[in-house]
Amino acid sequence: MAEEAIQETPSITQLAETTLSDARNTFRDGITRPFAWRITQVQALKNMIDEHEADICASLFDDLGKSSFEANYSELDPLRNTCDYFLKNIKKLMKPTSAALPWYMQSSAKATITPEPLGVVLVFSAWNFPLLLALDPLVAAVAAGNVVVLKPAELAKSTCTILKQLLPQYLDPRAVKVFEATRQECAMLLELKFDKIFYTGSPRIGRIIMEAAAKHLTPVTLELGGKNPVIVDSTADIFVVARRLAATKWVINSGQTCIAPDYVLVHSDVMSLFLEALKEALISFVTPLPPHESAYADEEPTDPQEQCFPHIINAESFARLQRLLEEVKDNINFTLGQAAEETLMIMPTIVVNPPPDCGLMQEEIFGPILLVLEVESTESAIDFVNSRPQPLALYLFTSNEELGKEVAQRTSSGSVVVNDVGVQFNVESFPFGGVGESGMGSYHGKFGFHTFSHMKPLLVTKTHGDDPTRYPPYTKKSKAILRACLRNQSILTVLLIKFGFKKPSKF
Amino acid sequence: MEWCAAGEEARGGDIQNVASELRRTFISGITRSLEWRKAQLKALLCLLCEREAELCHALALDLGKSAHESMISEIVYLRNSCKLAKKKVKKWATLKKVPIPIVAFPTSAAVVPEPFGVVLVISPWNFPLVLTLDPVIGAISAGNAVVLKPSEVSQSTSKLLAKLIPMYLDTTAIRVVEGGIAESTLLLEQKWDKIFFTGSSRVGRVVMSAAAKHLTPVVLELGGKCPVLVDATADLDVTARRLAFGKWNTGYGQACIAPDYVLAEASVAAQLVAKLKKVLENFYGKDARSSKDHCRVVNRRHLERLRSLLEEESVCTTVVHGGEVDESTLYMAPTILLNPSLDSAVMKEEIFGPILPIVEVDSMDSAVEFVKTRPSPLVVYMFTKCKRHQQNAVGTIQAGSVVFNELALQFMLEGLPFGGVGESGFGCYHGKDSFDAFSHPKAILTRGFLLDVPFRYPPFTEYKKKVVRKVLDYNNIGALLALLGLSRDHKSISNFEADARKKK
Repeated sequence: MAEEAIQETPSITQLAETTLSDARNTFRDGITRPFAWRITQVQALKNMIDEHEADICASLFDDLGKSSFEANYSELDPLRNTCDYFLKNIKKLMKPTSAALPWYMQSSAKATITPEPLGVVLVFSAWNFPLLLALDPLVAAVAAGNVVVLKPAELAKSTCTILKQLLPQYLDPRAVKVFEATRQECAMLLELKFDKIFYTGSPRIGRIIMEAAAKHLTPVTLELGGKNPVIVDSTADIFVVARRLAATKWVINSGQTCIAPDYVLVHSDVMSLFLEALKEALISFVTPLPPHESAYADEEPTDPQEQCFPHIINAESFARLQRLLEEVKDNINFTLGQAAEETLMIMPTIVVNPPPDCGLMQEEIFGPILLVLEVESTESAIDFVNSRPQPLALYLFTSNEELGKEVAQRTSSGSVVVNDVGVQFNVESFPFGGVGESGMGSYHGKFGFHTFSHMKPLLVTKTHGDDPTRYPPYTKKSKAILRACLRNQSILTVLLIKFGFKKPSKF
Repeated sequence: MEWCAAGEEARGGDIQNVASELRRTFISGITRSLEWRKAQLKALLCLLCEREAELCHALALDLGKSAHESMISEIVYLRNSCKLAKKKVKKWATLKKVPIPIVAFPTSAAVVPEPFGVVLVISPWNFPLVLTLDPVIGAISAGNAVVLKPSEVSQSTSKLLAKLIPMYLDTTAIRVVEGGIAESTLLLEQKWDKIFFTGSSRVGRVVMSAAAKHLTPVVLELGGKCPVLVDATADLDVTARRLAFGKWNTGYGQACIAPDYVLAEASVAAQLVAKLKKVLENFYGKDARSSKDHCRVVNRRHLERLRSLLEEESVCTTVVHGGEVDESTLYMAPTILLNPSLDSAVMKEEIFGPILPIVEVDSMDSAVEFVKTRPSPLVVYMFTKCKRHQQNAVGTIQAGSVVFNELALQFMLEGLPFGGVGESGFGCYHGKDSFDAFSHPKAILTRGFLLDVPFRYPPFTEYKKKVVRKVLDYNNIGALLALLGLSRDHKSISNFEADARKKK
């Protein structure tokens, strides 16, 4: 982004400045602070998703080829859950909490900590879950009482359009603004001062955003990616591993997910079984169930948009993935079908033990290619993972509970999931975020609320009974009393000093 | 300070070595152990007790702080912080189970605070001990390796820390790097896992910008102009005493939380000035120069800076108390200004010294509006008995924290998060917040292999879709009904799987 020439269009600059200034005025007017406003916004968002489900699904199909089933379970349903969480919890989250005071202040002071909105928040969405990654942070920011400027992912054009169209109809347009911008125009947007920036995307752009934020001392939450490893040891139930891995890697967005497994480190004892099981799982996903499976196959899919795997987002990404595969064509173990440029389809592909310097081993794949690497031991798997940047998620399949604890302790990642893949996203009580190259800060549930709040302490003291001991000029005794208090000595000790029963020199 | 190229290269090499060595230590896992953390905290506590006299002496040399002020404002607080961390580290570091929806059974979920790794603490000169070691206490208790970069302006303290830290703490994991801008720049070129910076907003920007290159998260504890609002309902005697205490008795105005300027309702401004003068005389005698109960301006450069604030045309005529300067002792008298021009430097820049401008306002509402138009301060102070004024200030002014009828004490309170917002910084620490500042919460989810329910896998029939949607909707009854009658046995597995299982 920084390397390209920035074409500044006066009208876009003016638009950005006007948007920001309107947003600031709205925040200054205080309309986003009351509980009633926040609740109505969250409810309105939920209504928007419900009333326009079909249109939203259509735009997601248009952008990524997601079936309405996938659109619902991977984007709309998590959003609905987020809205429900906030509808239930905003009141509790807004409440001040009281803070403990030392004994010598308890009768004269009260201390509380209150969450306060930060002000005008800039949310950058990402194209892979263009609805969820726009609205999930947005609803948390609104729940925390902020004004939001949303920059939807320009690569997901239809979702961009529908957000621009629907949000002003349902949410308060003074406080929730959609600002479309190309990559070049974003640089101009980042010149302006926001009170918080929330970005989901790549580490490369994350750096640019943080650097721009530094000029204004704007705090940032960066939800980035990484190469998420999967460690499979010989005690794992390989068939379950294969199914869970395959379902998350390929069925959800064709691997274009920040928490998608990127590469698998498989113990040599189970390597060939694993590869077979993985292939089997993939084949089973696309094979219609036999009629006698009465518990399941009661009807044919009715959704005309039904397809198992979404397509690649655009030609540029398609070309990148094809290039990566071309480099390792001798290591391609299995592919579920031919790639098709017209439909931007790349079918699930397994690459085994490619050369260590190939592109697939260096960059985040973010596509339907799974790397499988054979390892001699879990120890070497841990070393391999630790020699690389910290990922957003680390997955481990094992029956050995102790190993789970050991791997969690000896590695660093945003999260660790044992014996499953991807499910951590739906746990509201989990902070969702990365560490190191995979990001900073987190959200979901109360973490989302706090990410968009400043926890402000409030200390209220009384002015009567102003003890002269604390003021100069100091005598030996007054100094001793002050120090005893600050050292959390008991009231008895302090009284003993005051009345001369304890020597000041001891303090 | 001038460095020749070779010297700088050597220094750069040293710094790189320090960073690599600490990284190796962190990877070895030693800093994660509770025993190690407690041992380091205990050793630090010993240092703070056994070396009290030397520490006070260094602070006296650097800032003219009396032993009493050093104890009250730095050492006692640090000892408490160490003790609290030592006592609570086990509880803070323990994994916490979190609730998960019942439909996800069998699953266990927990969040564990993980150390970031190798962290850098950069501290300023005004409270050189507490602002260096308090973040370090947080870093150690959270299980990190730490590099400390104390300010070169408070030279004696910096030298003393460089001498004492290796004597008491584990040098493979905790190191002091001394120096000025050159060393800081070299340090900032390295990759750290977290940077904790206390200092000015200007340098805060430089730090964050450098951190961005490595995607290093930062805590910035910055400053700002902390306003004090005084209305007609305030008890002026107490106000004057506490104001004077907070301004001149805590680092002599050289504190991030020092009251910078006062906005007083016109009806009480003159009285406040009179009472402040009286209080100052009570505190320090007729000539404050000879009192040992306040410290001095840190160095010549700052004294000159403060002097030039007073020399501005629209300011020099507004001095109602003090103004005297003695270069030889780096002394500036406690100085009060009444209604300096709002455009003057003293009203625009953070004063960080013993000058207190008092500006008359016609109402508290206009005072609040004035504060709102300026960058967010670290603290807003208000002396008032009026609940409406209190609510207005709290509800509308954005600040790191708000304190009514008191000054500066909030720093001491472990239960309160200490940090700024906007220009005054972000992130916070003290008490458990220090531990949290240096750890990131790692989510750990554990499932079993049992109940590998087939409806999560394609091909997705209408029936399967219904079940999945109910599960994701946390619709327990619906999902349970769907689950009933569905077990692995009912789904036929492939021959391949059947054979493979038999072989096992």
